[in-house]
Amino acid sequence: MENTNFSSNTLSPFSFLVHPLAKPGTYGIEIYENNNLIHTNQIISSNENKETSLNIDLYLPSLRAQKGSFKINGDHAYLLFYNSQSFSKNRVIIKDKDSVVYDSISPVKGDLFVLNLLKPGEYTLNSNSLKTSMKLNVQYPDLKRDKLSDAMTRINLNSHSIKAIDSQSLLPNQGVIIQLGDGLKDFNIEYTKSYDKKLENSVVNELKRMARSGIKVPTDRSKKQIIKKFSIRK
Amino acid sequence: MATIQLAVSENSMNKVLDNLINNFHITKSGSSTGNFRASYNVGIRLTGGSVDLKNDPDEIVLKEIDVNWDPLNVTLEIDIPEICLGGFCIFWLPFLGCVARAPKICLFSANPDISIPLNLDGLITSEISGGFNAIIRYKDEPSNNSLNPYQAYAANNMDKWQVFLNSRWLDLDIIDISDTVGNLLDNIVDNLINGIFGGLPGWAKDILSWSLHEINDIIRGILDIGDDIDEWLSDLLGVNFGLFDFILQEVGNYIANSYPLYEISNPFPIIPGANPVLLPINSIRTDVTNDEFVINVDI
Repeated sequence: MENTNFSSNTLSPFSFLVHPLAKPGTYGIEIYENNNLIHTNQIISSNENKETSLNIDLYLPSLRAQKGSFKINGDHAYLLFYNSQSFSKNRVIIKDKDSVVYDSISPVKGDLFVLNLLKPGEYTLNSNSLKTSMKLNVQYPDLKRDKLSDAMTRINLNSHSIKAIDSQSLLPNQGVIIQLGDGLKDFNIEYTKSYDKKLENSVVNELKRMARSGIKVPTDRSKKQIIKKFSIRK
Repeated sequence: MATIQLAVSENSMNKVLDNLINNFHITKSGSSTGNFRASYNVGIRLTGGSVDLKNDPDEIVLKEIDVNWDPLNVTLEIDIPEICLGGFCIFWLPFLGCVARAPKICLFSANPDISIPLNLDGLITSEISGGFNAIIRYKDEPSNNSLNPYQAYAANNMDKWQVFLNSRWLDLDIIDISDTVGNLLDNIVDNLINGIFGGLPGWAKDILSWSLHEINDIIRGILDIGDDIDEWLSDLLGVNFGLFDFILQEVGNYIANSYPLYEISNPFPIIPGANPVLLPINSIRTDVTNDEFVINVDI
């Protein structure tokens, strides 16, 4: 949870790549970690399959546990790549026979990078390809101000908005969806400013206050006033 | 038959009461089931109190004896629902709905048990009062069956007439639950958060607490605190654990069976020493006036 730096090829429990397959077919998939090929398999995209999305965990034991080919729908096929156990530099290549249809280091329009930032503070998104940067301000949640449902609204960014916006506020666990393509091929996100430490424990303290306020804790009882009596009579 | 009267004033009875209750000490541990599981470990001692003698009907009232709860430890065990992050919809299409969803990362297995220890020492002030009548018992000491009275006297092993108090009624009054009961809630919240999130940094506990939708409801609902924490605490101890009835039973049994109010040796050494003069006692009777507790000794 403390890992706060991401790049467009960082896959982790909190950062994912999404690629929609353009058409049905049988594809080969190659997975690289730190430029080393670690696994290969097949993806069968066909309308015989109902699943419209596949979350492919690039953690090697998970890849090896996959029985047979990956199967996904033909008309709507969204492949999501992530690593459930660590922050890793992965490259994914999908081939239609020998032709590369997808290379994660060269994303195209329609590809997405999805991020789930948890730690409050200021992050700077830098893109060499766009030659621009912007801030992502993850706010410290306030129990009175911020509803959990507010974090359900995704933040959508693309090359245009990244160039236009200086900063974007968001809540922890609020999904950030970065549409790649249109000049946006790469970026890195760095944690550049910490939150105000005085805020730490504010949610827990507020929970205590709410627990107290919702429960009557008498303080003005007169001395020797009996609260409860238990009796035995013979 | 002649009768000797021994009269004890109310003031003197207070000293007798001190001896009686100072020897009382019980401990108990156990657990309860219900909406949540809880276990306890409790020790009880008695101090203070006073005697009030009542005539017609005869009754010895022991009033306002302080109950010292030491220790009073309760452990709450709570089931916590699974906490997950992510899982939000990435891509949504008309008619199909969400077609791509972020992986859901569940940080904790479903329904882990959290133990929350609560030290409630000094939190509760309570008193016992009771009305008693005197009962007479004769203790036939089996080890002196082969001895004559003088031998038994020399061996300090004589039969005894004993006066016990038998309870007619006993009340346990919960007088006060400390103002620091608010700290009890803080304690519960802290232990709940730490129990769920363990050694995570403070900001992470805050984020995850905020993300755990029902945490405030958990604190109140699972513990079934309702609106009144006094009520909750006394119900927990009294009803769930049955401690208050237990204490009253134990106090009643102790006073009635374990520790006599008075003992008179039989025969009674009216002149003690190496050559004692022993007076056989046929029976004893008691009487209570508003000022004195009287023991009539029939010789």
